Amino acid sequence: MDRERLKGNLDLLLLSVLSAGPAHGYAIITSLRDRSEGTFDLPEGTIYPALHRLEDSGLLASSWAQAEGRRRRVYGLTDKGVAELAAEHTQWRKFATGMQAVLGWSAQVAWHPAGGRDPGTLGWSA
Amino acid sequence: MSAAGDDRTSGDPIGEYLDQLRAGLRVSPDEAELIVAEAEDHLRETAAAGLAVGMTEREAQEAAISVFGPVPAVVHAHQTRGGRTAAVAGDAAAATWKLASLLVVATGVGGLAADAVRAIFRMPQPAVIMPSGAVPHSVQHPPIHFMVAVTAAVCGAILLTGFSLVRRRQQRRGRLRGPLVGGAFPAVAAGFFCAVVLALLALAWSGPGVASFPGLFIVAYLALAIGYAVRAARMLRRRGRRQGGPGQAA
Repeated sequence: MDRERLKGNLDLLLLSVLSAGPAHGYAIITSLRDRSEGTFDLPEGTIYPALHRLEDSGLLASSWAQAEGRRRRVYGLTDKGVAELAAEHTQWRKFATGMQAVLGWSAQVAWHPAGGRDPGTLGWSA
Repeated sequence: MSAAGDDRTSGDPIGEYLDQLRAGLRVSPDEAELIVAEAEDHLRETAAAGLAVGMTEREAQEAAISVFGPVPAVVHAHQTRGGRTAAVAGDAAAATWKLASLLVVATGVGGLAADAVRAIFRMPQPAVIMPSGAVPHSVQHPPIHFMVAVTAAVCGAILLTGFSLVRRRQQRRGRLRGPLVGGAFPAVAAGFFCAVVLALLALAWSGPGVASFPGLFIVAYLALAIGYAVRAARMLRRRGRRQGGPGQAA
């Protein structure tokens, strides 16, 4: 998938993954890849700055724990993050519905150029 | 975090990667340690997953590093906008430092060569005619040409040595070169010295106050321009071969 497009939606994706509960970076990235069935596969090291940015803006909070003899940073959604996720989710659904409506319509026209319909019914004026 | 930075050997690619990452990050040391600790946790966990599916230790570590991303990409992702601006400014300053050093050295060498040619062929010192008709100080005391040339050559050499020392120190700390002072430098230097040569030729042509122009300066700058142009062309060819693969190398 186009990386730039993915980066534009990365915050929403990370917030969404963390809505299932607090997790550390590896688990977040693995979950992102598994849930998207491999579609969202950024270089893993570049996802941490996004997590830090979300923490700086108060949408995530992190704490350090000890695991397998190493320090591990665990992220969780803050109340502000939960609210932001809900707002972004609504926006995204609206956007996706609009996109789907337009793309579905254009696909229908492409597959059936005449479509058995009068161009006038498509909203065109000759 | 385990003792990152201690006892790194070629048997621990993740350790080496973390050392490079730590050195490349342009953030405070405390922040760098947190970033490296988090990266180490991720890399070791990915490597453990690789081991679980039958990879060797080295294969698992290299695979973990590969999916984590190259150090420059990760460093770039961690840079704030201010940090990126500072990195670009630092790169431009370093390139300017090196260009200025070379220019001063070439000026000194050109001056010494001009003096040597004049001495060998017993030519008179260059006459500079000022608009007022006055004779400049340097013409009244010819040895000053030689002193100026020596001073320029020595100053340029000191600047160049200083640049090399700073650069070596940065390399030891694993700091990556910016494009201007790195791969693009030969092209930048060739363009710069070409511009200097053209400017001097234009000055000589219009020639207010210059009766005898020391062409050896132009030769010195031109030699640098050609040298760097050749180096830039070689680099481009090498890059083309690398991108084209062995099939296109022939």
